[in-house]
Amino acid sequence: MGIVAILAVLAFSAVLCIAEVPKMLKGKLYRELWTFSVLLGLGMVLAVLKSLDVEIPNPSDWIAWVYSPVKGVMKSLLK
Amino acid sequence: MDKIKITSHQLFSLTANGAFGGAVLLISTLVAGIAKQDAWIAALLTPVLGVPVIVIYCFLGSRYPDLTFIGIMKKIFGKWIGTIVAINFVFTCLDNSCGIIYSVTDFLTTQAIPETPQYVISLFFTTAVVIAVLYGIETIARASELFLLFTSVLILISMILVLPNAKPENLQPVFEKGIIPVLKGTTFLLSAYTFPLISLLMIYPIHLNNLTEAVKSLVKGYLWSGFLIFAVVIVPLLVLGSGMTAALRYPGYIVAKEINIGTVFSRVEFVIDALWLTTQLVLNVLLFYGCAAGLSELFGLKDYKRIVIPLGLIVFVVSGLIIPDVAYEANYLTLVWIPHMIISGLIIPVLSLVVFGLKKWI
Repeated sequence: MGIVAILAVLAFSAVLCIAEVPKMLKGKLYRELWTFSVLLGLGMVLAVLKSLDVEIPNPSDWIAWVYSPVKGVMKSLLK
Repeated sequence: MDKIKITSHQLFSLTANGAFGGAVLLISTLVAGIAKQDAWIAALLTPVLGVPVIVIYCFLGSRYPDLTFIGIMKKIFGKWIGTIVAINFVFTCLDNSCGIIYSVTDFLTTQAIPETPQYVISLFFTTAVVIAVLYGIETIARASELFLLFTSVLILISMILVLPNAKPENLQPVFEKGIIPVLKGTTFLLSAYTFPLISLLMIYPIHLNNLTEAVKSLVKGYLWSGFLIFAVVIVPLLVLGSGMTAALRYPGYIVAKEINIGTVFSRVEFVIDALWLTTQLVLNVLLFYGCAAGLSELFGLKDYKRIVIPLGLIVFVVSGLIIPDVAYEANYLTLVWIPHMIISGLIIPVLSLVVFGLKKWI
């Protein structure tokens, strides 16, 4: 199952690149190209790691860490 | 990009759908858990406290009619702090749109189609969101006009049809523990359906022609969704009682199962399901649009549509790991998500209002 998911993600990214990159090169939108590649790379890495069942850090934990000082206040306010 | 204009009625339906979106099914159980049988008073009180917040958003928008939220923050706070605030806004939008996709998949896999893997459902939902954002804000606004008609009619009809099963004594005693639990419930409702509307500030000043009409339609849309949410909160309380409402995970859905008129008109719960999915879609499109447009403005891109599909891939993957289980979700919602929404949706706008006033005064 993991292999199928990885292949699907890679095929999707390849099709997306073939469709989008020439348009951006033609329009000389280099900033767009950079952002597009970074975001697509991040998404691909995340998808491949997820299909390989690797532990990915959870963004909710980061937010929880940021708001951990107000935890006691929220507990007394809402419970 | 700023040639796209929407009418004020379209803004009305976007606001109503967006505010109603996050709340339909989950809200009544959480509020009933906090405020018990007084949850309906909390739902009545929320628009009273929420309208000033909406007016603050409108005021911020109307001062800078040709800027989005990112631009407004950069104007008010200066370059550096403004960028940090804008990154927080983009991150909030991203996080909330992952959370909405999670709640859609969670609802469908636990209640409706338990054998389907969760990523299959989130694939379809994310694809719908990405396509909607690719079509642009004008199309989203027109679609939401259509959605609002049938969601409002259907939710009111199903809530009225279930009323023969209502027991008014479920609401007694009123104010059993005083006003404090009601206010706690109000805090929850405010952060659930008022503060996510900050994402409308990506649309409100820049894509509208008549700003005074737009302010009216924002407030009207907010009040209309407040009325619908009042119906969604009070009917499960009347039918099931507060203990049952707080114990169930999706009381609105269970309540619709009670509708049974002459054994012909039954199984209406999937109507509720469908309209919940529709309104979730509108809210998610608003948040995702806010994320994509905000990010592209931060990076100085000309066209936000280029980065929509890669962002959609990220949202699709992250939506599956953002909340591992239900116990984590309950803890996360009250202890982390509410302060996060209060800071992004209330404290930042109020602070920027204060800074704006100080700048004018000095």
